[in-house]
Amino acid sequence: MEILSNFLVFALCYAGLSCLCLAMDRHYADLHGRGAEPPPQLRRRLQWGGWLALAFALAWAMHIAGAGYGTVFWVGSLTGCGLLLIWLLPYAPHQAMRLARVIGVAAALAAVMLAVL
Amino acid sequence: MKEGFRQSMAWLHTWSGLLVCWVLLLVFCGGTASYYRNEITLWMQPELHAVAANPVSSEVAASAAQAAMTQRAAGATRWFISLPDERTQATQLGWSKPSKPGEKKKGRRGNFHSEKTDPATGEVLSRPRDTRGGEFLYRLHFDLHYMSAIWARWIVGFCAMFMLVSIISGVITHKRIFKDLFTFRPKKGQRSWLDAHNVTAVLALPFHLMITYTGLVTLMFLYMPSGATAAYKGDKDTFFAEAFPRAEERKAAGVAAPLTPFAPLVRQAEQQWGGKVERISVNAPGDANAVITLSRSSGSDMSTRQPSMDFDGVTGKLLSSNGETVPGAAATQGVMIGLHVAHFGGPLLRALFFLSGLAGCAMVATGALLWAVKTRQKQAKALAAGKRASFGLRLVEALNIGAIAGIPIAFGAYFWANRLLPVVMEERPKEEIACFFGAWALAAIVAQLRPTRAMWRIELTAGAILLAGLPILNVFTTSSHLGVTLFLGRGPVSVAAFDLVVLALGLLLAYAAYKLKPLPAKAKKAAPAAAAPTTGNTTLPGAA
Repeated sequence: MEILSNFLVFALCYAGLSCLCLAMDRHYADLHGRGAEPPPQLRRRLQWGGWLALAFALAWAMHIAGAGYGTVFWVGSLTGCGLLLIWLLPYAPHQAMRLARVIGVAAALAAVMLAVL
Repeated sequence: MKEGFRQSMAWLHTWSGLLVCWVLLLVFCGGTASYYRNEITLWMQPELHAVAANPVSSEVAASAAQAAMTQRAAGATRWFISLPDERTQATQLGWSKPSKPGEKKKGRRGNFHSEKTDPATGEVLSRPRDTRGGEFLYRLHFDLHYMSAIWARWIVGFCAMFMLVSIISGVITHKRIFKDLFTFRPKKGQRSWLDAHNVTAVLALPFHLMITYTGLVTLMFLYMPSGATAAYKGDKDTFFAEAFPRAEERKAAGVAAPLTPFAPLVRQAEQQWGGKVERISVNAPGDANAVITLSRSSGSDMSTRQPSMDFDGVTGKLLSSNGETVPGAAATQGVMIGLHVAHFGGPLLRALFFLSGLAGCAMVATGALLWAVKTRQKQAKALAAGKRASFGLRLVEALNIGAIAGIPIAFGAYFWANRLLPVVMEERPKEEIACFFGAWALAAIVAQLRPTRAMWRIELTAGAILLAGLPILNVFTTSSHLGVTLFLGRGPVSVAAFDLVVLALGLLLAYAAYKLKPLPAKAKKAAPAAAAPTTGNTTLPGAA
């Protein structure tokens, strides 16, 4: 249970950061070839999705660990996930994004499980 | 101002950073390791590993400790008992006896005895090897070594202040802080180093700011005593008593009375706090006026100021409970120190702090390297014409090797010394520390003699062998190596984790050394003896 709760924070952070990253021209181009730009609608969706995921991560962290701890935990997990993402991006950009998708789905599943249990 | 604001900030960032970066790297490495100082100490005392694998509840430990103390510490004026928790495995018993009349006082701790005992039985553990363990690394990060602690704290405080300046001016200088948030471009020389520096700095920025600022706060009464001195007319004791209140002490009555059992008190306190009791201290044990004080373990709250409860030593009645509400300023300071040392938080949060600490090491290291790479670029023409690198560049490059590649060597040598020095030895802790500084001095001096790319490779390889070799060394010198702790699953977990972490760090260093393989003959001509590695990897020689 606790593992699942903590995992949800990490998963939301990683997925959210990946969305925000993909919404940027340079990183979109890393994936889709030089000069490619995300269509405006997709960009908006990615940005909204990214910020929402990060906000949910913060809310959930505060919910499970209290406001003070939760914030520290959230900032820490942002650092950890950010480092992982940035490290993966130049060497394996497609895998990084595939991981983001998998983790996004896993986050949704984890959220459903936590809601049901 | 002749130049723009941003340019002057860039200048400030460069020089305030460069001036203190090598000391900062040591402080960061030591501080990062300190998050696991109990685990490091445990690792360095293999004699305690067996006890650590079978934990007991604090009530059982308290009863065992009381029985042992009643037997061994009769006539003591004070008892101190530290119960085991997830991070320290033995029960620590301590007591002070009144000095006999006519006996010369042996300093403040002269009549103090302490011993580590088995938490379940209260028996004294077979004396583990003498070591300062993680405590040395913890002290190192603000007291340095081989100098007076006050001087060291001023030096570290000076460096921390420069660090704070660097962080703030760095943020101002960094024009594209959001645009470049996710940018890391490897294999691009100077560009890569800048990216790596930015990434490790920006992503862990909240941590860096917090750790530097709170680091200064922990020692604020040393750095800025004037406020308190002026208000209390130099009466420091009154100031501390009013700012951080404590319960009053009761005088011994001189009438003997048996001590009430600890276990029910421990249960009562743990129920009220919802946290574990960490320390039990008894004033005037065996006296009618005995007072038992229980303190909660840090870990369930963010602040380091932990509540405590005083009980009557004979009746077991609750006398007072302190520290559950602290005055605002003291609470703030408590939270700040708490954030700095991260005693709260479970293993996950501590791991995140450790990771951020490593990012800090990488930030300082990449910053120092960046200066050298940039300056070498500026002197490229002169260098190509066969001139020698300027004195400053040579010095910085040599110091970089000595610090970035040298510190892992020092850490490695410290741990190797712990395993290889004879178990029974005069002043063993001192010898271990001598190995730390000896190895580091050697690395630094050799680097000064020949600050070349080959030297980077040699020293990084040495660090890699020392760190990654520790799990292997364990197989031959202890019976709690990875084979037992991990593959047989017998624990203790923290010992296994230590082995895995040093292994990982060693492999990282090995990777960095591998990336520095000799340049092909053609490239060599273009960049003779490039002293800084030009391939980027974010997780640089971060060191344990």
